[in-house]
Amino acid sequence: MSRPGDNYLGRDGITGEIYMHRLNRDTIVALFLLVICGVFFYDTIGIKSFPEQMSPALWPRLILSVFTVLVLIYLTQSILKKEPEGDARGGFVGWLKHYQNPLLCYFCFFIFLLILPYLGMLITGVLFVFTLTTILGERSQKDLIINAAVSLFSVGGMWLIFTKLLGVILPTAFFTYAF
Amino acid sequence: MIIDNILAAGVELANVKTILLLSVGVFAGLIAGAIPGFTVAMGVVLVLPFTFTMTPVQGLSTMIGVYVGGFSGGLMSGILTGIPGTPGSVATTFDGFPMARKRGMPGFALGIGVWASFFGGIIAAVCLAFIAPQLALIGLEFQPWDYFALMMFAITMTASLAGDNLVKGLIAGMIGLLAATIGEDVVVGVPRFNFGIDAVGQGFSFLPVLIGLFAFSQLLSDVQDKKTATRKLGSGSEEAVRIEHFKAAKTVLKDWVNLVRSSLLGVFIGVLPAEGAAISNVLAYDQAKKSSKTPEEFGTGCVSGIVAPESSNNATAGGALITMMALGIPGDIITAVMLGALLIHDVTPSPLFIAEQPILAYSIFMAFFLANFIMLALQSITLRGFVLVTHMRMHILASVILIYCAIGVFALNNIDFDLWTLLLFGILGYVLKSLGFPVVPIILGVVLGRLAEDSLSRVVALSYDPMAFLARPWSLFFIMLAIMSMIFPFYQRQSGKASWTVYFVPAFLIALALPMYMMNGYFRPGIAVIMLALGLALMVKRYRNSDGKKTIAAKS
Repeated sequence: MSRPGDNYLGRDGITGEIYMHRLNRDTIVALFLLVICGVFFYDTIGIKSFPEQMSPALWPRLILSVFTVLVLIYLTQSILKKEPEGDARGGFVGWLKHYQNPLLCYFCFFIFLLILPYLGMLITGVLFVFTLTTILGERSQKDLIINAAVSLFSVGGMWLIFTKLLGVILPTAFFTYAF
Repeated sequence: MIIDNILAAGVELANVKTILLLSVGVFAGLIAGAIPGFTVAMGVVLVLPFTFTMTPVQGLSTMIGVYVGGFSGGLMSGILTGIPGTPGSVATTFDGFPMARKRGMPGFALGIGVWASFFGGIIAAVCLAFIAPQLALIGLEFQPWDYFALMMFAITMTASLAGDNLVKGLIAGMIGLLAATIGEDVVVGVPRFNFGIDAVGQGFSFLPVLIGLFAFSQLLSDVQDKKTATRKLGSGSEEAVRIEHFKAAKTVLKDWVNLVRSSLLGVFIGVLPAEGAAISNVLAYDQAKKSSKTPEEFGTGCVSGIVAPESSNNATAGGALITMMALGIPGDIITAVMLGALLIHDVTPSPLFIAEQPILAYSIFMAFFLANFIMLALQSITLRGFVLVTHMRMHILASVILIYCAIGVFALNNIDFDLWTLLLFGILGYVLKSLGFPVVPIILGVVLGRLAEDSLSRVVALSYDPMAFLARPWSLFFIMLAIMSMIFPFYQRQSGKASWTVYFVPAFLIALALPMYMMNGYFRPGIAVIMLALGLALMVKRYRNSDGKKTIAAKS
């Protein structure tokens, strides 16, 4: 028997535990994957074909067909799955806190990519490692000195190995062109 | 002929630079394998950018060094701290750690692990040198239909074993295959799925995709939690002990039956496309315990309990190389990376690889053989390095490795787009892992995608009839294997509970007998008849047993 507030929820007849019937994380992921399948399928319409050759759209369509079937199975599994409620991590703020470190890593790497063409691999790399080790770790004076030393020696060492030993050309800072 | 190739390969390998690179690879692998959570695959991936400026022999030798060293490195952490350095050393801790801690014999335990790894590797090296060419001869029979079916089997097998959910594993495989279609198609070069972005029209390079999906996402998982991010890699109590080599070698050789059995089991599992060493070490331990006259000693610091997993995990490396060298199909994620490395060096592994490039092929065999000797020599030195590394904190290691990944990826093509690819697939890999999708099938899909499309294009050029996949024996064989590999996870879960599971093995034998009977000659059809007879006999026997049980249950 449903009770007020049970909307998309069901109640287990034996344990009385509340579970989500339809919309859970896997369902959302499955729906998202279906959208991706649809977008890619639509894009295959514009792929040119040539006579006497296998159509360049054939292989992607084969993959997408199997992909769609699998996602539909996944969607069905997710809808039928009983998942106890209370999986929430304190809403959006809680989610941010839980994934704080990975998000910071991605953000730092994103900034690293933006400033790389201007400051070059060596300077940007040192700044990246120093910033990341400081953000992820402790921030006492001793730790900051260690982080600075690690970033200088590790990135400097890698830069030397790749440029001088292996002969790889890495991006340089804009002001080095003046010399 | 084989001797000529071995001698020519020996000349190729016998230069100071190559031996030095092999040694550096083994050393790096020992350290990488010893750090819990770092994984051998990560070590091989990180070495890959260094190999761009090397010759194929040098590059592959370095990676093989990491491969061999990595599996042996896992035992250091497993025996000294009880935490396996790699998934391939899980079973080593069952007896290695008790021998080191409870019995107070860490040097002896390490020695047994090291020598078992060595002998397991040597047995696998011999198998590699003799079986790979023979398997390649079988591979020469493959037509495009067979090759395509083999690749699909590789993906389904990996998907079924990679995670808890088969559907998620298969979806991951499809994601990898789809990612490989982005860019120009393999036949006519028509751009696909660029969505108006010119840079995407070139497609994604293999290295940033691999490092993003695997290394980037793994590192972020390691630093996700604030506590684990700032902890030291080791417990702080590790000490550099002296390995008792002579006593250990003698003891391992006394247990030769277990050693040979575990090594051959490791080779067999390595040949199958899946995460080899993670499975083989546990299976070998299990078999050793069942075959032992004193199974109650297992878990208390028993010698056989260390010999079995350590010999099998090193032998698995050889098995995986057999499949890669003979058929051009990766046996595990590490050989998938090596396959990518060969492709970067314009070498396409296939059944023709050993015949067309014998010196390179036999150089790889010999490098694998030599790497085991170098591992033996370096283990003691690496132990001191391991103790130093355990003082490092995870967030520092992760940050340094991330920038190294960026430099390594950029070094491939010198284009910024590869770095953006690294970030994109780093996010994708982490998100998919968090959602429970295994990463290994994605990587396999990316590696095999273009090869599979190439095979399919040849199939279509020859014939539009899809029934040809069922009419050709090898193609049907791999399709049957693929179907069985998809049923296998259900069989594992329901074994002993559901009645249908007793018929799985006989059904498997009968299913494979059909394509084998269709093959040329008398030997394989003869094997097929035996398999059919055995399958039917088992089926009847199990049916009668289950019928008997029902009758007894009904009477009671």
